Amino acid sequence: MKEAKENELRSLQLEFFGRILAGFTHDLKNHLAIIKESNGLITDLIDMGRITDEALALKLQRITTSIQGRVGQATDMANNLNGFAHRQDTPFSTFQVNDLLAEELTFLRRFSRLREIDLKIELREGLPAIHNNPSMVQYVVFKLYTMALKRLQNHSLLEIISGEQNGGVQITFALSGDKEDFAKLIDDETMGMIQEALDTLQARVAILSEASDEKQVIGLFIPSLAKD
Amino acid sequence: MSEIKVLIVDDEVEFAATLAERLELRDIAAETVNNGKDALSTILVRTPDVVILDLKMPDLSGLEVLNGIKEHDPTIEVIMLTGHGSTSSGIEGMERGAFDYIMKPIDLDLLLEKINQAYEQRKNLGKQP
Repeated sequence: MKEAKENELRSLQLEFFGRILAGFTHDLKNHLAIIKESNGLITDLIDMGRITDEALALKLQRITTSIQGRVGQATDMANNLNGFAHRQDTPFSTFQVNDLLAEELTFLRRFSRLREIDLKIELREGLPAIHNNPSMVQYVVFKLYTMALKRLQNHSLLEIISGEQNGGVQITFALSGDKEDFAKLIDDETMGMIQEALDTLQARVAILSEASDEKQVIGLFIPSLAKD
Repeated sequence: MSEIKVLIVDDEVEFAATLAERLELRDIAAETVNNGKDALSTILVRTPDVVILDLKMPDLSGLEVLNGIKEHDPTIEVIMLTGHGSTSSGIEGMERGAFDYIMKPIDLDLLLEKINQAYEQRKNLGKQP
């Protein structure tokens, strides 16, 4: 009973967090839209020859190009953050796992970059859309990703690959590096943290490699659940 | 100046004004208003061909303004401006008669393409010369 109440409270907190984040990213995108249009207007004036001083036009062109690039990157980040926040809106929905991964990995990349771990991502085309809990999938991916980073030493390689598996989707995490790190590939602490989520998703995690293999591979299989 | 008359409805004053200026530079007559009520009163006096309509505004929502526009003149074409997480509202807008929707921050080339397509559709409906 106590656990059910705690879960309900946690769910309400997540919903609150999602709403705040969604509102924040919406406002952020409005600011970016204004910067983009203002920058675009300066570009228009240069392109249409309204700025007659050539040296000034060239200087402004360099500046506007730089602003345009940064606004583009910031917009991608804001879009992904907004999508991430809206994941809480509908607990169960039909979605493309590749979209979820692309969105989440935008933020996770920096963790591997800080550790100088080479992160390779292969999102295979033509995966079926699945019906499940998208924010829960992102949570499990996050836990497996952070666990993989803990296992790897600096300058190692982590590959994340999505593929179809029995009508569902399998995400594999392939770790290349010092074998001693893989004595126990999936630790009890991580499994303890994700087990409840795996049960909700009816998903499973399995080790797909032999101890002697060059790479150690973890597979996360996520089925498509029946719609209510 | 091209024949196309555009009304931009967005509560972000700077955004609307800057976008209007960029459209004017491309010979499109653009007027701006910053809330839904002004949008509905403006179309009674000056009929635009295309309305660029923000989905989220403080007084009337974009969908309410869309309903008002379509009740007044179903041939006025409406392009909705949505956020990345609000594509379902954009789709709902199209179900209620919007021509299309586009995400903010906008891609100007894409918006120009949609404005031209929307104008052609309005012309084909026979209300415009």
